[in-house]
Amino acid sequence: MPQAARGCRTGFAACGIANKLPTNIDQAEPENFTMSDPHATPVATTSTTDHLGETDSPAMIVGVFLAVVLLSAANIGLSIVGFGKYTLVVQLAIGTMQAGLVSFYWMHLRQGDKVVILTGLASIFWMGILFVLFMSDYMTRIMVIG
Amino acid sequence: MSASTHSPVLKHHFEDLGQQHASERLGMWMFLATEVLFFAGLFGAYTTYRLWYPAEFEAASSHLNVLYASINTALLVTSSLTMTFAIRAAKLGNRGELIRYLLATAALGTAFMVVKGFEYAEDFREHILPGAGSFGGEIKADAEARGLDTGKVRLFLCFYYIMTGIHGVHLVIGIGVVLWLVQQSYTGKIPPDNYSTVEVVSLYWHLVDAIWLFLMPLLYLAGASIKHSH
Repeated sequence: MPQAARGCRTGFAACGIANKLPTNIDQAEPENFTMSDPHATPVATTSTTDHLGETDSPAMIVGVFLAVVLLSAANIGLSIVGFGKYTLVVQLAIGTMQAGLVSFYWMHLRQGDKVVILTGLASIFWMGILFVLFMSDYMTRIMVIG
Repeated sequence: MSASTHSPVLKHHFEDLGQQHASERLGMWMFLATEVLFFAGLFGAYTTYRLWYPAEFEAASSHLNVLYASINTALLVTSSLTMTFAIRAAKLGNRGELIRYLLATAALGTAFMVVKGFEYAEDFREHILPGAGSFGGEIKADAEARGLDTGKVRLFLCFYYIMTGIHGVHLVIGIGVVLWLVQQSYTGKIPPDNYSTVEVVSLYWHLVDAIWLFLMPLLYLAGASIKHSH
């Protein structure tokens, strides 16, 4: 029974009735009983053979470190030199690149489950809503009240 | 039935270790999403006032110590490096290396806070403070000489202390959790099967690092191009 239930976690529809899942709990052998739910929504990345996933290579870890440090140095250097009205935009662009490198490689988004990637993107999307809503108020007040 | 089901670190309500690790990662990412929104409120308020009062914010920023902030950037990015190596060591089952990398991470985080302490002490000595009674010294004289509104300069300092303070609190919590990982690892509770315990802590640590990478330009580099005579 557990093997059949495990198969269903890859998609209930694909299992059909061929697996003959017990509809009564009493039909399951107690010693083999697990808490499998045949109706459960498939959960991403439930591999039973490769749960350790990919191990980061030292070259990648150090490469990201050097890139982030170089971008920080560039940000500091450019800011001291100064680049006019684009200062804030350039600084934030560099910060975004750094955060992107950290999240993609060190926080493992590149090998993340879809639901994890969706969670990360959702936080950025909600932050966007926050910014659009209050900026549309504060940045347009001068147009209304002069 | 997979062999991983028999692992002692498998919690009873999970099907297998893959599902357990995925759930732990997802839980931490959901928490991080709330953290992003928490800081987004601060960044949003900062952005509004920066756009309203650019001259005051840039003048105030120019009095902050870029050297301390640069050292802290290096410390924090390096701590993220050692944290990532700690995950690798955990996956490879190298306990000694795991403990060393975790201790290095905690030490670098602590060094960040020590530097921050020196920076705050210098700010206090130079009256770079937001309170009406405590604000003064060179930053006030400079703002008045430039014809700027000192109230708006002090507003920037409010953001400076609140944002760096809250970031510091997050880092102190992170140091505590990393030291807990050291204890767990020392007592043999982090075998390779349980590497995700290190990974979820690393996710938090990297987020705190990433937030600093935005605080650095917004607070310290905003006025870095303004030259002072001192």
